[in-house]
Amino acid sequence: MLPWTIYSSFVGVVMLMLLPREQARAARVVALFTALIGLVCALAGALQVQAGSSVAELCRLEWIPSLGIDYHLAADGISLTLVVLTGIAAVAGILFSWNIEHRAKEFFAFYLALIGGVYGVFLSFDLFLLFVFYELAIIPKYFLIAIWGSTRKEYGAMKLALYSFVGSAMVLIGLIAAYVVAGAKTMNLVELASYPFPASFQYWAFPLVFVGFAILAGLWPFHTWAPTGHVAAPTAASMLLAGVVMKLGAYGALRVAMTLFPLGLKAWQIPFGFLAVTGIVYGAMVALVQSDFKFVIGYSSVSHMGFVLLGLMTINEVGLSGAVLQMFSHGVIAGLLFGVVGRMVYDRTHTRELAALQRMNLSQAIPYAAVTFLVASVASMGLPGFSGFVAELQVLIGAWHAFPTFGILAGVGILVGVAYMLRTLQKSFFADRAPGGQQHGHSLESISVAERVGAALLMGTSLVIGLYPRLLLDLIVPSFHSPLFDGLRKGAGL
Amino acid sequence: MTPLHQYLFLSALLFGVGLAGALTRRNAIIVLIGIELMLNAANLNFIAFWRFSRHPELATGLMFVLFSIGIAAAEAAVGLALIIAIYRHYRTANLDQFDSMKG
Amino acid sequence: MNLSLSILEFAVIGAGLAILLADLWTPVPQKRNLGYAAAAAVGLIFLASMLMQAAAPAYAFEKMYVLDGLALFFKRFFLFAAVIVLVMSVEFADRIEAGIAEYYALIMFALAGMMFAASANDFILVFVSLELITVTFYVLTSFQRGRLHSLEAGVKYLILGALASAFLVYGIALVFGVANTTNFGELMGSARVASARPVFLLGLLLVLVGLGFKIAAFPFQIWAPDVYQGSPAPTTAFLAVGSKAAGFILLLRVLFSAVPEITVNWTKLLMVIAGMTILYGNLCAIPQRNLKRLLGYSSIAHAGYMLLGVAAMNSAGSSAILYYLGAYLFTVLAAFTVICVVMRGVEGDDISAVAGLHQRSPLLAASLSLAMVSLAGIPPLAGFFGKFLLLKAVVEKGATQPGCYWLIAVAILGVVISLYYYLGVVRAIYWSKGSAELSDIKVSWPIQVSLYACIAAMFYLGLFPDRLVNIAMEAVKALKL
Repeated sequence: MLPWTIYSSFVGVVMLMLLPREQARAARVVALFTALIGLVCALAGALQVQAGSSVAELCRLEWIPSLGIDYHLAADGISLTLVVLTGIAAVAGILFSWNIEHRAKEFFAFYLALIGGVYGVFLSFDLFLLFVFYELAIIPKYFLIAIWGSTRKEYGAMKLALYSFVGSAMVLIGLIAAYVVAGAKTMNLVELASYPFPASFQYWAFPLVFVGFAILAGLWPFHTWAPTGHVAAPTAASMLLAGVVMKLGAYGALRVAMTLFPLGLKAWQIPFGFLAVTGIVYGAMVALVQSDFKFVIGYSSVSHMGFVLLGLMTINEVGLSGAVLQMFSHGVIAGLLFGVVGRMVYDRTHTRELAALQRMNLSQAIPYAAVTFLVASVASMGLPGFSGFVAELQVLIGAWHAFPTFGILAGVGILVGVAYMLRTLQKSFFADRAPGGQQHGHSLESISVAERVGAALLMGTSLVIGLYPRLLLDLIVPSFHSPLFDGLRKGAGL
Repeated sequence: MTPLHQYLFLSALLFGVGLAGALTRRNAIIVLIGIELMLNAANLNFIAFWRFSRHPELATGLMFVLFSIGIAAAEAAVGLALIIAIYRHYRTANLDQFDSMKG
Repeated sequence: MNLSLSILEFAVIGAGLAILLADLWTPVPQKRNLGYAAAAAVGLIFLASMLMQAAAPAYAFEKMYVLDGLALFFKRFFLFAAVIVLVMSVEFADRIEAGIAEYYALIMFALAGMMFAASANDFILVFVSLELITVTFYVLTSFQRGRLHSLEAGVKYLILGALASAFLVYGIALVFGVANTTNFGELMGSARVASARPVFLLGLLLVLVGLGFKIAAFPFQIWAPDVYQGSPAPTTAFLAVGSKAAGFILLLRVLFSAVPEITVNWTKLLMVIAGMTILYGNLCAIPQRNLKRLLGYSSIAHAGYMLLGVAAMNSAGSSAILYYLGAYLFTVLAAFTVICVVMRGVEGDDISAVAGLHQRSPLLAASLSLAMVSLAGIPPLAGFFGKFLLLKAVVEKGATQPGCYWLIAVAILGVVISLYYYLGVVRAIYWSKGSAELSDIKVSWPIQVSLYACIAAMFYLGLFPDRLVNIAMEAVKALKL
């Protein structure tokens, strides 16, 4: 079932390419249908595959036997979590871009290609295959932003493409080095993870691969692509970018860098933990002073992804499972936030300046958007009842065990997070009626059904996981007992 | 008999003169002549090495020189034809003035 | 004497002469179609080459000529490239004022030169085959006699090419003087003794200068941008693929089958050259607006990547070069075929000429974009796997030569820079404001076939590299690595 998440996406790409030009409606329907199939496959797979504390094999074929490279798909609880996230985010993104008319066919083709690549990364257990899927996502990302984006789109797109490319090049070198050092016989993740790489090798290979992946996860100080990229991207693309693509980086850092090089991880734990905390605090502080609505959300993504990275650096079970849960939670919440900003607000008001929005009295003009954003910001602040709370709490507990100072700093980050979300909430939707403010109320079109469904899907997901986190934790926690993490347990004391 | 090293010295001198001509002169024809000098220096080397080798009966050096002369002639023929063709456009054979492509 | 070994070359020369003869009886309007005949003939020879086997090396012409797996690999490579270039030339025919049949014939003679180069086992054959290629290319380059750029490219190529040949010949003379032989097999035996003599090393260095010129390696690359820009598009394509590959096969033969003992001392030199070539090509390509000139600089950069495989000095590196050339062949030919079709009546080959191409012809747009993406080295296209193999070879070398890691860093830097300008071309194709010309472009069916073949090959090599990797590994067994 699960591999069909990948295949159906690429089948969708082909079908879209075969559609005649200027058939925007048909393109949307095909895309939505494809994404739904992907989501159904992902959910069915998650229920059907009982990964438990092992890795469930899905598909393994010889691909390049002379180099020991296989077409190898498999899944454990972590992959399942993220595959489900991808399915949800993909459907929501399409619902939020229902108003795309300009070259819709190509838009959704690139969109589905990106989704297919993302599914591929989460399910690959051969490093070469993983890398191929990882790179596959770069070009669609570039196109989505550069063609359909707004504000300095070409700059944002090129910056994102170059950052991703630099990161993936670093990863590639690290992977090749690992492959050569281990005897150049296999690219299988599980086999390489059990290979005892010499410590001196791990000391430089770990930061290389980790940073290579973490660039895409918005690791401070390599995060600068994120705000500009998010702002330039069209709504659906920024939802995917924040919701899923940044998770690729975090996932790669956990799956590849940490499992392969546990000794390197141990040595670099404090420096990278520091960078993660800096990202949390820095992202939150900068978000506090932004005047552009979307930049606020862009920087909040950097801050929240900092929690993921901090969770990874704790190297204990609570922290790690918190990190994975945070990937899921942030994927959902950031998708929602970007949906509100990009689709519900910007497409209607054509401005993202908070000062301008303040005068528009949006809470009465588009009440559904106001409620959605209220829910999303509450979830983003990490209030109990939403997924963000459980995830960030776990990360904080983990960090407290590993390095208390960083834990406290991260807690400060959460407080600043509350501050900037409240500020934004107040300015954007719930401003006091400014004297002489225009009445926009009647000129804005009302929120469409597609948007309502998309927003409800994301809000519901966050709420369900917030109320019943065991749904995911029961998947995630046992995966850390799989043989894949043996090296991490021995080498880094998981 | 003149010893080998004198031939080599002469050939090195020829090569140097040819190279200097090819690099410093701006007239395409003179440059081509310089290059021909360099080729001939190599030919002289070959002949000398062959004559003084332990196995002159293996005609390798001689053979190479025959090929080399033939090829140099072909090169000169093509070269002169080209230079005449471009001379018709520019009314000069000065290499510095062939600069319509930039970048 | 075993003439039957070089039957392919003789067939190509025969076909070339036949085209020249047929030209005498062909009415003028039909002359351009001789190109299809030529392409068909070369295609047949290509198919025939697929039937040939070279399990053990076989020699001809006093061991000057060798037919082994490596030679056969490159012969097929050149034959295939020539088919596509000939099809491209038919498309280009109306932009050549006179003598189109000679243009086809010259391409075939250059092809014969490349095929001899693939089999060179003696410095005499190295020199003769190289000159056959180069002198033919002087003419091919300046074939548009009415266009100033073409003539200028011809003169520049001539002057610098002749200079490089002079270095090559002088170098060979010095090598011959010390070792008393020009045969690679015999040099192998005497190289250890001769390597103590500085004159011998000087001679080899001069030979390297000559070959470095052919592949446009730093610092002998200055001719490349002008010549690529000025030449007729099919010539540029053949120069980028055929001439460069010929340079590489000769470089591999000289370094790894004539004097392998000496080459191992040159790792650092080759590494520096590779790194500089990559950086120079990529940095200079950034500001270019002329598409052919851009590809000229990018071809310098790609020569640099392939030099990584030489500098790695292991069979992984050499087989990676072969793989990379295979990928490069389809990619570059696709790009130049598109340029050849699109730039009809466009002066300056400016990138703006491809603006809005996706509306004018989706096939051309897709081919050019895929070619750019493949050149940039993004999976799942062929170019990526080539780079993967090259980097792997260098990393393997890194165990004994720590400097390799710097080289890798430089290579990665180059790849990242290149993404910028390759994506620039793609951007121009798919969205650029105010493209003047939006009429549909008619693409003739032979061009369509060759484009589809190139695209299919790019995907095939990228997705299923195993076959070519095995072939390449088998082929480089001919080298002493």
